[in-house]
Amino acid sequence: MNSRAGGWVAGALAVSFFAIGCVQAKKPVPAGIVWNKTIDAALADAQANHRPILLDFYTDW
Amino acid sequence: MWCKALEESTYVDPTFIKFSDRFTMAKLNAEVDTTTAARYRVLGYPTVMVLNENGEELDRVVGYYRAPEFMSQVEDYLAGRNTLASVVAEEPAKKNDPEFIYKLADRFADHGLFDDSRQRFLVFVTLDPKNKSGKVDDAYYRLARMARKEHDYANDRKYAQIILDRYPDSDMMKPAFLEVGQGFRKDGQLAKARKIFLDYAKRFPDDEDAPWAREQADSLGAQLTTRPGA
Repeated sequence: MNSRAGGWVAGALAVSFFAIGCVQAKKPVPAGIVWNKTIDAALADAQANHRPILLDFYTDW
Repeated sequence: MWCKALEESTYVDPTFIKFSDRFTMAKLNAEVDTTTAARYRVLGYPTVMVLNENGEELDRVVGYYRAPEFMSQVEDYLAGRNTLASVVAEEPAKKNDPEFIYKLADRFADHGLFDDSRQRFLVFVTLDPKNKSGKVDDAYYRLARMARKEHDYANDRKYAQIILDRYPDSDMMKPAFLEVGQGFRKDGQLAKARKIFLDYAKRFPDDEDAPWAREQADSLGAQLTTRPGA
């Protein structure tokens, strides 16, 4: 009985360790880029923060 | 296609994401925000403008680059290195250097400065009459494409035809062949355009662009039934 309970606890610990491991493995991925969607918003942000702008002109094709 | 590559490779690269913290990042659909795209003379996609905080251009990255090359170009522009202005300043000392003139023509074209670009490409082809650089055919192709963008279809076809006549073995021969067809189509000369696309599909039946050329010929054929004189 004791040994079965011990096995269950060990199993639960292993599962939670694995789960924490997964969460921790995801952590280092940096958040994505936050994009301004209009030129006016970009200029206001750049002037407020005194930094240059990277402005991507794209198309959907 | 290359916009997507930038999106799925460069912009998700952790090094680039960290690098982007130093900037205000902005993204505009050039086909929707046409006013801003025209203001910055953006003609090819993707184009990433590097602007100072007042929105003035330092330079631009045109086309797809992986994160390391992309970041390196941006760093150069921020430091005033290899900008269009700095390349133009080198021109008096290097005006007879074909490689330099080609690079300058290329940069002007990226900036939408077609008159300046055309002038340098035309100098380049005279500096390298025997095509030692192997880029004379590319220069004529660039001239053709710029002419098409400016709706100058006669010159579009003229430059493409030069490639077909003088450089039939070059890797630009097939694109030039199709360019002649595009030039006729854009000019409203549909029967001539259709003939070019049919010739292409017949001459290069296994080419990857052959199905596309056949589609163009079919679509032009359909248009010709309603506009037989075109």
